Amino acid sequence: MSAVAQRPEVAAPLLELRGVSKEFHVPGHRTPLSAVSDVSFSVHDGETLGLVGESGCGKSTTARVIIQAPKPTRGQILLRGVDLASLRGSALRRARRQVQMVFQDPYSSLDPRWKVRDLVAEPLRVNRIGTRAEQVKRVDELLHLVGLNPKQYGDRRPRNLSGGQAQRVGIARALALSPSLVICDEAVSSLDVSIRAQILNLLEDLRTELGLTYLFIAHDLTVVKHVSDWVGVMYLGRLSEYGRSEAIYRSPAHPYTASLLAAVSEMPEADRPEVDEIPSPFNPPSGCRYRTRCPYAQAKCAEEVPELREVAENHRVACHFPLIAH
Amino acid sequence: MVTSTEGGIVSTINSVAMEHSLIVERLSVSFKSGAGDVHAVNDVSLRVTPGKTLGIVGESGSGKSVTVRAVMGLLGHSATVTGSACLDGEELVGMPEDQLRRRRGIKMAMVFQDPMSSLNPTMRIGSQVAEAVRQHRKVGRREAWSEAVALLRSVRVPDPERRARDYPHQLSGGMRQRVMIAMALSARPSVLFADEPTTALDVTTQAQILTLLDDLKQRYGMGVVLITHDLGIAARHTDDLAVMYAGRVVESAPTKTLIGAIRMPYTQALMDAIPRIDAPSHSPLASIEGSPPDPSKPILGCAFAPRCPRVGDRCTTTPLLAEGEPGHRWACWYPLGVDA
Amino acid sequence: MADAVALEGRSAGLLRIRRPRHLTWALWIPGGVLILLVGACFIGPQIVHIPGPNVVNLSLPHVGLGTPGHLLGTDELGRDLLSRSLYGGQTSFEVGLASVAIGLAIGGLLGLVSGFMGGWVDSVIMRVLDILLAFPSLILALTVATYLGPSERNVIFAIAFFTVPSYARVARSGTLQFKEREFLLAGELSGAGRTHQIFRHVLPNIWGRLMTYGLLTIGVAMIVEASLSFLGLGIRPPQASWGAMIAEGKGYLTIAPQISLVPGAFLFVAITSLNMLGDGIRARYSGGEAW
Repeated sequence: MSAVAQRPEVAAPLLELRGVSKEFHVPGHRTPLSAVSDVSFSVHDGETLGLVGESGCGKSTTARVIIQAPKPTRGQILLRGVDLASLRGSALRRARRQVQMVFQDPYSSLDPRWKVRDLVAEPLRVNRIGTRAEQVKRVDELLHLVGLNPKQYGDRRPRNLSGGQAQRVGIARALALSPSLVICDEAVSSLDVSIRAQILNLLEDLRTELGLTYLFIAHDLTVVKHVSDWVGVMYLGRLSEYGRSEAIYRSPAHPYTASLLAAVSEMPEADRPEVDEIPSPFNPPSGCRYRTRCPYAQAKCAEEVPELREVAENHRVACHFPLIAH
Repeated sequence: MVTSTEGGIVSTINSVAMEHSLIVERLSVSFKSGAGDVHAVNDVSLRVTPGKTLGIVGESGSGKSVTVRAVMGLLGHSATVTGSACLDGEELVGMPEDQLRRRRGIKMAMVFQDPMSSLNPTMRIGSQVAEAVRQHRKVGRREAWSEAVALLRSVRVPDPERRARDYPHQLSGGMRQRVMIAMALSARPSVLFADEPTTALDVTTQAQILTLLDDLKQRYGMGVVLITHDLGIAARHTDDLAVMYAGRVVESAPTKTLIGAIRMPYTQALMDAIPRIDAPSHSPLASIEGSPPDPSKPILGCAFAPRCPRVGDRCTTTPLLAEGEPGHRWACWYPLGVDA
Repeated sequence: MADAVALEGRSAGLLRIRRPRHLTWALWIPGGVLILLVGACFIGPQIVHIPGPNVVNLSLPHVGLGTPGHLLGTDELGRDLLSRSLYGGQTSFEVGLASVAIGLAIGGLLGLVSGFMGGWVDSVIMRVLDILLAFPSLILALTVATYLGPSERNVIFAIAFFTVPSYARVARSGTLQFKEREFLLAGELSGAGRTHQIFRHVLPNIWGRLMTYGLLTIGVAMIVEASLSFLGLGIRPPQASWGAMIAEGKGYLTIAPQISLVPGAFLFVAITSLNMLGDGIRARYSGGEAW
């Protein structure tokens, strides 16, 4: 059963996930690994959804499943109402062009043998957009847009760029096809604090300038806070909380969200075990998957999977005993 | 090629050796390259106190990792190291490799950013820790194993008897980093270097690992050197701070003093660049525009001047790191909060 | 100056210092020897006056080294060994290069496609190649050469045939390594097709290692050619090749060892240089390839 996290507005979402699951069969394990399990959310034009959670929570798999690499095991992924999972071949390729991705490791996402100019031009070339001269002009524009001087950086190869510069190239490339959705998968996580601020500001500037929509995936809640209108918190493949960013940061309803927030705030958390680990995704706990780490867990949590339900306007939580009354 | 230090410095160091376990004095490192020498570290002086954490903070390329690797003697032949690094009264700069190697296990240990690449994927973690134990002490296999389990327990690996039989890939990133710390602790080093130990980890795990380090240094009276690019982390988990930029220390003080009254504009900029949980959505971050200088080119004047909001006429001459207030040193002509 | 910046930052657990780009003696010496040898074989006979390789002079059979007019002596039919060695070298190098080129093209392509496509395509290609690989290579070449009949062209095909699986393996393992890199996913997202991905991204990245492996196998190919010719299944007399010449001299080892030893020495120098050059290049590549 999926509880579609729908917002009251009538406007059709740019991207909508309905009950999306992804399972992997791993050699040596009898049960499949459930990486993403029954996730539903939507992203609206011009708004940023931040998806947070610890490593292994399924947030990156969710991103991959959205771009159909790999396809989801179950569920629908609607891009402007069209289910991507139902598309094949060239139709899929065309539809997918609207979704571009910025990756965590800029060096890994850029072919080390290519020059910056060619890397940014590649999407234009493979899609035969514009004449050669127009492509050159567009590449210069894109590089300027991300704050790189084409004359200075155009002929460099990725290894001759700093991490921040390489990430700018990755962003320029992602913007080349004027996508409607940009997925930033831990796009600033591997950068230094100072460079991270530069890239975050750049992403924000591009959003207002080009009217971009982001799905922003990160493990760092403070970073997500800066960019997001909506926030989804994932735990062990499930969406545990979803809602307007201010609401979630002001009054987290899920104990897991609360613990994540406590970890990044200056305050030490008293009732938190010093060492706790995410249970194996091969054998997730019954009922609520967070119950093994939850200080408020009760018998019901082991028996029943909590549904994502509304606790306040634009604020949904999957918890039997949410921290805020409804 | 290594130039050893003059006798004068060594003798002064010995007299204060009680107080500090590691004293780095005017350490410089340069690398030979086709385009001329690259001065990665210039005149860096640091002190590590037993039971305390020294934080070295700076951006990529600031020389913080090179400094530590020079102290540990891990730079190889392409590097020229000058100055002095004195560990428990012994000069490390210029020490022959075989002696250094012995010191590396016993007196100083290092924890890296990526624990997976430092662990052998085909060996049980218990055996890897036991092997580290056996490198330092002549003990039997069985004894080494029980020692390994004890070490794993001391770094709070839950159920260490069982987890010792796991392979690295069965552990989470945080657990692997705990294993690395256990291996580093096997010889009870007097100084533990931690080079961005939590950068690859989740926020929740980061806090746990740093708290563990805080705890261990007190329990074992060990000095910890924490290298990080995140001033926020350093502010919470260190006792002393040294901020590096372009191969030099530009501000240093006890952490409380420094965070309470930041003088160097660069340090302030690092502080402002940290995203804040209480900031509203879509609020811009204060970023440091531009990028650090190219270390292969000579730097005239203050290296931070081209990016500095407070840049003035005097910045064309290199400011020296000097004590502006008791215990608080900075290298800036126009420090914050101080009337010139 | 990216090197110093690369010392820090990135996910570097260990310090990375990139190898100097300049050629070292490990490349110069074997490279120089090879150039000399190839030059001598292909250009030598044109500029220096020596008798033809098949000029029989029964009045001067197996004369020793240093005989005026026959610097390296003659064989049992009085043919000049220097001349035969140089012309034989042409054959050996031709066979080595051509068989490697063909094997590399076919094997490389199979490995690329196999690794990139994965799934059943990969399974089918690799299983078939595994079967080929399971046969001892010389026996395989022997079988093919016997079937096709002895001639230079057929020797080339026979050798190319048995080297295909190993090239495919090298290409496939390289492809798999790069397949994990996100730039291929980024390319896919921007609408790049498989052909573009394989030839513009994967191939250029594994090119260096394919070439190095190719260089190393030229020597192997030359040895196999020599072995086949020695067994009478390779180059047909009177055409010279080092292997065929060694075979021709085997009956005279006690009275005229130079007939086998002269081409043997040429072969030895050529193979050793090729192996050293290949190793040198591989050592240099393994430093840069990781990027």
